[in-house]
Amino acid sequence: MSTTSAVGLVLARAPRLLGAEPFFMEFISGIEERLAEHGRSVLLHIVADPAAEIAAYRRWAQLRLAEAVVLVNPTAGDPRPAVLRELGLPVVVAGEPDGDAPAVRRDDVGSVRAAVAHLAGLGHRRIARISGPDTLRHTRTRTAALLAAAGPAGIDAVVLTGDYSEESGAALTARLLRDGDPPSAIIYDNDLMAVGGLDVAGELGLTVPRDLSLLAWDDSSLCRLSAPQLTTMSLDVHDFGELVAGSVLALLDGAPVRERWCPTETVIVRQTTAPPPGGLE
Amino acid sequence: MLDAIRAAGTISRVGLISVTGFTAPTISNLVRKLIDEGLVVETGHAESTGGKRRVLLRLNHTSRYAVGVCLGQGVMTYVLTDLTGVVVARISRPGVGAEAPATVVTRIAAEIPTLVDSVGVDRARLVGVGLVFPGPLTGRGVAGLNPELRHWREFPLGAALEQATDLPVVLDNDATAAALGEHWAGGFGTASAAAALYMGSGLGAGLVIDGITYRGPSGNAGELGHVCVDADGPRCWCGARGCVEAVAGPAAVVAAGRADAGLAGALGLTTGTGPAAVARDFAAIGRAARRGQRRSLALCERSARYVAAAARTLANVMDLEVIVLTGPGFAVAGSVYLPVLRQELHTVFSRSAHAVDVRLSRSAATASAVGAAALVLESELVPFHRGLRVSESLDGEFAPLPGSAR
Repeated sequence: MSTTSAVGLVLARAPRLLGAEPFFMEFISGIEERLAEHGRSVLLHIVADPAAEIAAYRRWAQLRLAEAVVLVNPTAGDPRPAVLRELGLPVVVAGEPDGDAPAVRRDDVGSVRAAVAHLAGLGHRRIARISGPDTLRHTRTRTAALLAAAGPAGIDAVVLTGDYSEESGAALTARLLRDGDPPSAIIYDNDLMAVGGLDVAGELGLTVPRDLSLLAWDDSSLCRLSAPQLTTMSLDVHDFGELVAGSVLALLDGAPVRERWCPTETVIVRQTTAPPPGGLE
Repeated sequence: MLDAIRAAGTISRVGLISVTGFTAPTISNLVRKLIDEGLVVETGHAESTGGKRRVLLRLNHTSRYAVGVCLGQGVMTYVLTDLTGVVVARISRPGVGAEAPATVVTRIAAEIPTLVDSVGVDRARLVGVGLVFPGPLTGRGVAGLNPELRHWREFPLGAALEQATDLPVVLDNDATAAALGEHWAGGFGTASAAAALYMGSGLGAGLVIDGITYRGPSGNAGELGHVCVDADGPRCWCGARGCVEAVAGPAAVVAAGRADAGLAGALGLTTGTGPAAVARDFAAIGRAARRGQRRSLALCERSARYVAAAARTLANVMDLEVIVLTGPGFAVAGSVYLPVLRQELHTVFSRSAHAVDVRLSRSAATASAVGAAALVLESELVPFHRGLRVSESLDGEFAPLPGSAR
């Protein structure tokens, strides 16, 4: 290993994904911590668009600056795995892989089921979800899982597409609540959007959770510091990063890389979910 | 000028006249010079107000870059930022440990071109290197007296790195740099008196007063870690008694955690001395506290009460409006400390006049390296805002183009 080599990670800071940054900073700190124990580093490069991301991989391969790459935000029809294969850059995918690339998976289906079961158990029958960008594979998986779980439970579910930012969480929540027949519970695909939603609910004169239940994703400081504290799915982002680092280390050692899975998430009940107005039906 | 454009995002020449107080011909000349140097570009027109439409100016983000390095005992963090101080790349490498200073300088000098090449930026666009470390500074701008860095005391760090990199180098302590970085990122809002509380291997603070970092005559203003919170307390490495860093800093939290055999076993705490081991164990305790683990939470909340008392002292002395928690320690445990600090700062003397807002930094983990890059951008491109520059001052009002004679 050269003293200047590193494990590369490119974050395409498309304006649509700005709100995902706190997640990735925590994720990367998990990777870094585990790699540092083995004297290895993460080279993080923040770019403006997907073309610049692919250009970075080509540069790293040519200059031998990255010994492996962690690929984040896998999308439907993702062009990146083929480029990395062509360049001979070993890769670990954080999320659903395209083909047989080593991956660290999250149980999105099981987690969505847990979220729906929690809200259904409280008596909610009209649930909305404000999702991340629907180009992302895990967004689509969660959407499919939500619709599959809702029907049999007699739940009416609707999905609006957000961009992980606080602003989009606020705007889409306002749209839902101004609707003639608003949902009694809203699921958010991350923490920032839930914080935006909580603010807007207050501005519209609603008391959470008495009038409206909110369920956030990605347990972070934000969820604990909001008032009331956000009920959230338990994904530990730091641990996710550590699992990815484990796969990277195995890959670099030439060992077989088994598929790793984050634990299926559970609901951490704090202060923003309760039975819907009118109580259990 | 550049600072005014940076802070505004986009601004017209007329706007610059009112912000800077310079005359119209001066503004016109300076703007032309900045455009010629490629630092500023025209970017469309402002809304018409009836008369001639005003041309808006903004910084040309990719015209210059800066490297920020945070020299730490456990970890070295490097960032590359564009002209506006936004991070383009970053990497962390092993810390300096007990290595000889000259070896470390060689290592830094080798890392910088690699980082620049990794993002495909022309090295000629590099303005310089900001290098920050756990203070305090000595009179010659030489790295500090912090106990583990004692062998750096007489080492001419800035000069050696300038020679090794052939780039201008600006030095500062990590807390002051973190405060500058927060200011550039807009984290202090419109506050005229703000502080960044920095938790790394120790505890410090950086002050931004009226938009300018306040360093004091020796660069050591804001040594929050050495505020006394117990006159009969334990002896601190600095020689005094009861410093908040000695009573409740990260090392004190870790020592208490290790002394609790059950907790040490559950969290896998080590017995390692040295700042890297302390940082790792503090992170483990902080993360457990975040998950609500009772004993870890108690350790962090006890520490937070002392840190809050020191912060209240600082807020009262400086009449602070905003305090931002930053640095690797607060990156992990900030959400546990924040409510305790908020509670304590409700009792600040000046509170009847204005609130003291306490927030978490959005880039706590790498704040000082980001601030270090801002430091060199400010020093090289904005006159009168100099950090502790080690070489001769620049000739002319603005930095010459990189590559031209310095």
